[in-house]
Amino acid sequence: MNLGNRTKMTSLPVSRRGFLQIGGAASAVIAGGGAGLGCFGSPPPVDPSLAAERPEILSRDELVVLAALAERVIAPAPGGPTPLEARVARRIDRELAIVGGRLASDVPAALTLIEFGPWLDLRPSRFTSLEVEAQDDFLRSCERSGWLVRRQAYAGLRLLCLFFYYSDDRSWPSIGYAGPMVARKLPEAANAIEALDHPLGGARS
Amino acid sequence: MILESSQVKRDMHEQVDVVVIGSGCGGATLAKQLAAAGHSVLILERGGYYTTARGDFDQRSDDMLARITGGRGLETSANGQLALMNGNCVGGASVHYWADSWRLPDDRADLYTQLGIEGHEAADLAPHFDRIERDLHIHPAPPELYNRMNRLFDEGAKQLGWNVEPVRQARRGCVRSGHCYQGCSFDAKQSQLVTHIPRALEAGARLFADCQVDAILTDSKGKASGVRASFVDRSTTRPNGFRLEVTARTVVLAAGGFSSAAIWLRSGLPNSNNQVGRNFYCNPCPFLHAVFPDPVEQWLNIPSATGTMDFRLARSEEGVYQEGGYLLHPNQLQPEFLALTLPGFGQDHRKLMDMLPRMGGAVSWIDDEVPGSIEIDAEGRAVHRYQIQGVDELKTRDALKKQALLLLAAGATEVIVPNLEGTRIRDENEIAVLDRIDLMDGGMVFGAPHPAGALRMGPDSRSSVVDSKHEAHEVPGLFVADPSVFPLPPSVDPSLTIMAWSYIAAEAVRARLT
Repeated sequence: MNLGNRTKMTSLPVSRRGFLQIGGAASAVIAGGGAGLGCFGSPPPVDPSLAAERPEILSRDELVVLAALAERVIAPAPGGPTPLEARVARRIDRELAIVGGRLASDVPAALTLIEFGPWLDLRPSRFTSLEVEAQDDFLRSCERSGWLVRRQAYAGLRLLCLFFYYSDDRSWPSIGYAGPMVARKLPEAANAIEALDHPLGGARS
Repeated sequence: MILESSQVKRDMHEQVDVVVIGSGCGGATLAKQLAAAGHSVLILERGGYYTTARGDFDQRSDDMLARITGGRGLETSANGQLALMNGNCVGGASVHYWADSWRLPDDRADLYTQLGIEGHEAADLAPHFDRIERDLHIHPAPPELYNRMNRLFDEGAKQLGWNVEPVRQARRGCVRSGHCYQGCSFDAKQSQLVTHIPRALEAGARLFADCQVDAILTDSKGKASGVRASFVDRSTTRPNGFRLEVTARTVVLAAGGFSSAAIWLRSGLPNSNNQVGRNFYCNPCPFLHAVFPDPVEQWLNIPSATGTMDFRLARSEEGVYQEGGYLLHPNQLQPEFLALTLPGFGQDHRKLMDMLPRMGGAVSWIDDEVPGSIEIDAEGRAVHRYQIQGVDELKTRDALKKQALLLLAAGATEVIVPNLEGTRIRDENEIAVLDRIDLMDGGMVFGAPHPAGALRMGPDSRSSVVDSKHEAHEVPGLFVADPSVFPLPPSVDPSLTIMAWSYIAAEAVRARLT
């Protein structure tokens, strides 16, 4: 089986449960179409700020897919940060590094399903290579899909993107939210932007 | 004395009369009573110890889910339908609860009695409720705690002829910040963290935070003899390498309705009749958003100052469900939670976000009758299997329709269903669509705030796990003091009932010790 660039994506995340429950399905997608996926090449070039990220759980390709998805899910209000500026994909990656377990395997599996989902619709392209209008069409088809795992993959990733964008205080003025009454204090295991460039932990040996 | 994992520098061994697993409404109440009676009590809490004095409660959902919520707010049922809302901090789920404080209705206490529960009748509970209400400063929500959505709720209910009443609140000096779910930054909400935990400590109890119980231990005769635990490094959420072993005359399992059954199973304790983890209920919460002509700002002030009890009990005719079986309240979501529960993406989602200040909503707590189960996976982690089905699906759809009716009567111009399709309702004639929308398979996500039943109480070990003294049928010396023991959900917010039952459990443990 020629996996092409798919080797950088998740291949065997079979979860017993999870918010997505799609690990097995993602594997099936890849296994079923493996011979042809290499034909569609790598994800397109990315913004330098994304290229500079150092993901902890996701592969670089998975981070790129997640960032591309976040760009379509979130339409910033004027004055608000872009999803890239809010480092949504990297914040999710950090959270996966903290929680671990099934979520840390389900999310990469969901990203695989999104990235190669157009191929299942007989569109010879990765999600990240589609024009934005075609990406939106694809996400709408996920929203209404009769295939449970595709719907769940979309729903779970959408939820994460929105939470990690709208928990960025720069997004608040445009939605009429004044924010907390007290000063911020990061938790020890933080997923905030301020924590992303520092290693997680300090675990005792 | 509170010990946190950062202070632990070696493996530890403790010997006590009572080790209590969990510091929420059940564990804290019981620990306070037993410590006051002179027993040596050690409370073990999986989560961290957070305080307003340290500035830990910063009102930000990303930070606070990480601090006080089990699974950092990302845990779901196995099918993804339910978001599990469990506590993981000193004080347990009471730190994020809404402070709604209901006594167990007499009809539900009578039902428990009919099921063979002894010593938990309404008359037995009354003095405990009196004391809890006094200690936690519980009082009906005064007018100043009604936010705009609460007032709209009452206006809508009045239009429909439904009765409303102020919801009794465990609050003292509330500043109406609206961040109850993120944990009170002002110690105004009377959670266990600021009530029973300090009183337990004053009475001599000790508490180890960041301490995860790996197993309940038994002696050669099968009697509970202590626990084995690991300290957790908060900066990684993983064990820090230091272990704890506790030898105890009695063990009290009070880790909460989502976790206690999993600890039992992980410990390999007897389960001859396969009752452990069965009968898991969780009060699933369907909710709707609504757009109003004027600002609502639902995130301000307290969540549920008001509500209607008109539909608490299900009504059937000739055995066929008609309506009801839930509580109905105004909803409160902070903007980041509103964002992720509003449907759509891109510009469609943006248009809804632009209306956020005018967005209100309603929520119901379903008095569920069809249980799920708690199991453990190969790593010993809890797996919660639950599907809203049968009569509970009928209740859920009825609750959604009543919510829509109320929101429209309150003046909403549009009701928005938080499903993937983004179903909209603009007048009463469209409400019937709620009979047809997909509630399953990721179509909608529901909150699951009130777990119960997975270690249920009853007289017969073939159909229950603990007896009316809260002691395990099959493990002498192991008591359970949390909502896992409820034979059925209490039909109201369970916090007061958990505490009242824990007073009874404390008496049973005390009798065992003396």
